[in-house]
Amino acid sequence: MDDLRRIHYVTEHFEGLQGLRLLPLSVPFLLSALSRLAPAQSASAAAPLPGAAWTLLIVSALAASTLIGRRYSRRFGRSHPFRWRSVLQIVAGTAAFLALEWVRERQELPVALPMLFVAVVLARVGMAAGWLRSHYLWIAAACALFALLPTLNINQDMRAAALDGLIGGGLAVAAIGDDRVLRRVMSERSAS
Amino acid sequence: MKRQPFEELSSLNRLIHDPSRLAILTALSACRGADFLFLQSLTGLTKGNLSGHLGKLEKGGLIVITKSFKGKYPHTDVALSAEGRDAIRRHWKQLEQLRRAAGKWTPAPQAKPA
Repeated sequence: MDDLRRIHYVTEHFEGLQGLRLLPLSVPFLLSALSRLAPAQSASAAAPLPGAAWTLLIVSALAASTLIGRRYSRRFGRSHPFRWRSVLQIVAGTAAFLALEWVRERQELPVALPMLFVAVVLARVGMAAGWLRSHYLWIAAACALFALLPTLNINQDMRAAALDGLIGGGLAVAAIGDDRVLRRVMSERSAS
Repeated sequence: MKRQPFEELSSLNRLIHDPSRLAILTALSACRGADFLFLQSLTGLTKGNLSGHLGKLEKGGLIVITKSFKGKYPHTDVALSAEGRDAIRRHWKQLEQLRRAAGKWTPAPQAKPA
């Protein structure tokens, strides 16, 4: 039955498990984190990468992601997910995130509540289907740590660099981990 | 007399309960549909085996198969029929009930030999 639950989970999250599609998106964030950490010159710390560079990197990343998606389709085929489920999850998640940010601002809490919420959501992803995507637990731990940064008297620039690094690094870890999971599950089934 | 959980096993629909077909139907229940290559990658079945199982499921009215061409290449899409979606849902419910019943099951005391 566990095997069947895994089949159900992999089918339901097939697009999400095509991890390498996320990898190009991690590049702009990692570059941004690096440029924020580089010794400050005349550029403003708030916008370390010029807008044009960001746009170019994001557009290239999206194009690369589409190409990688096609490669996955050629290798493993295609499934047609229930779109309304993911749309509902995104809407509910965004609403919760914004509500928690509102609470944090109103109560002037030192802990980044929205980031803690993200950590909890990612930890749940990591524990689903028999810890299939356990790499998400590392990202969740990093998010939880980031949520506590405001309590550690770390300056705004460092926090901005840490956020970019967290997003870029998180995307990279999720990308590689999900790709490995998908390949393992698919090749396990093919070998059995 | 109440049936024992193991006797209930015989009431499972064999068309669905075959391991390969159950895997196919479970996968299809998690999406609107999938193509042949996806089902083959996921279940690890050979083309011939998968075709055979899909044929049986289609004959049983549990799935709908749509064949088309993508460019020069044939393409097969598979989806659960309304009846199939209902059947797999009932089957899973039945399996869960059986699992619970088997967990609580204790063997009936045997009569002492005379």
